[in-house]
Amino acid sequence: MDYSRLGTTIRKDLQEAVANILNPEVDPEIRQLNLEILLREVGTSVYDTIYAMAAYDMEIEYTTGAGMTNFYYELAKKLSDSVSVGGRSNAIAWLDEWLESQILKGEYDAFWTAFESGKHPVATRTEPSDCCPWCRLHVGTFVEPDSEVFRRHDRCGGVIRVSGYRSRNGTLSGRGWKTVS
Amino acid sequence: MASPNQRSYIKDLAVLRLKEFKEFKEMIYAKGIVSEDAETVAKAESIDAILDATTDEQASRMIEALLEKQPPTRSRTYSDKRAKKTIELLDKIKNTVNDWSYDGLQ
Repeated sequence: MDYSRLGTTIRKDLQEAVANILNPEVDPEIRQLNLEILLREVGTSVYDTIYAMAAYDMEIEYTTGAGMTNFYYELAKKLSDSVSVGGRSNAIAWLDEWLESQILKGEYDAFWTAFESGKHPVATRTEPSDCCPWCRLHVGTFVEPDSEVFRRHDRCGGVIRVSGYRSRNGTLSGRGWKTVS
Repeated sequence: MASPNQRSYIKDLAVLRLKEFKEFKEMIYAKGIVSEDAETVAKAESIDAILDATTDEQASRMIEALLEKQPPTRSRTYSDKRAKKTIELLDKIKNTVNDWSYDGLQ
């Protein structure tokens, strides 16, 4: 399941909210604090929803995930500082990467919980045509994959997507899951 | 070339003493640290890009220039309009996430 495409639905609004906070007339510490709050709120919402979706797909909907990554502190500082030290175009790329990382973490946390619960999650790995021979050997679909499948070179840019029983049987539609609190 | 310590100090000082990046360029032109026809500076979109082409002596002069500057007066609060707009955007994002579904994903 490619959950990353869901991230595109909030990308523009998130960028606008960040731009709103990055006011040069406001103290950098206050900007950073407000960015931390924004990123924590958005990150938690994204992570919890993706985890719940992936968990339902993998039939472990009664579980909860470990939570979003803590990288948002560092990102908030970098974004806040970018007002004075430049690099706003990099800031948009950092924000996109951060959003993608919340989605991936939700997926992977659900995957490992399912794996450890004796379910049968599947990982599908794709690589771009210019990847190295070692990464090319790891392309494919793996039922109950071991950690070797997830080893990859950043420079090769491979993508690993995970899915569960329900999506493989085409029984997912709409909103089948409920968030466990 | 500017040392890692100089780079880090310059960036920290820039955050404290400058409101916007363009002020950094104006400052180094005004202090004669770089000539006004320096293309690297003109095209630079970040301090990092400038520091990549800076000698350690120029970096020292940048530090001195930044230390001479008084920290600007900055607000510790956002305007009501800006705060309201940001909260609206956050609510919109949360509602969008809440509406995510499997449709179109498979």
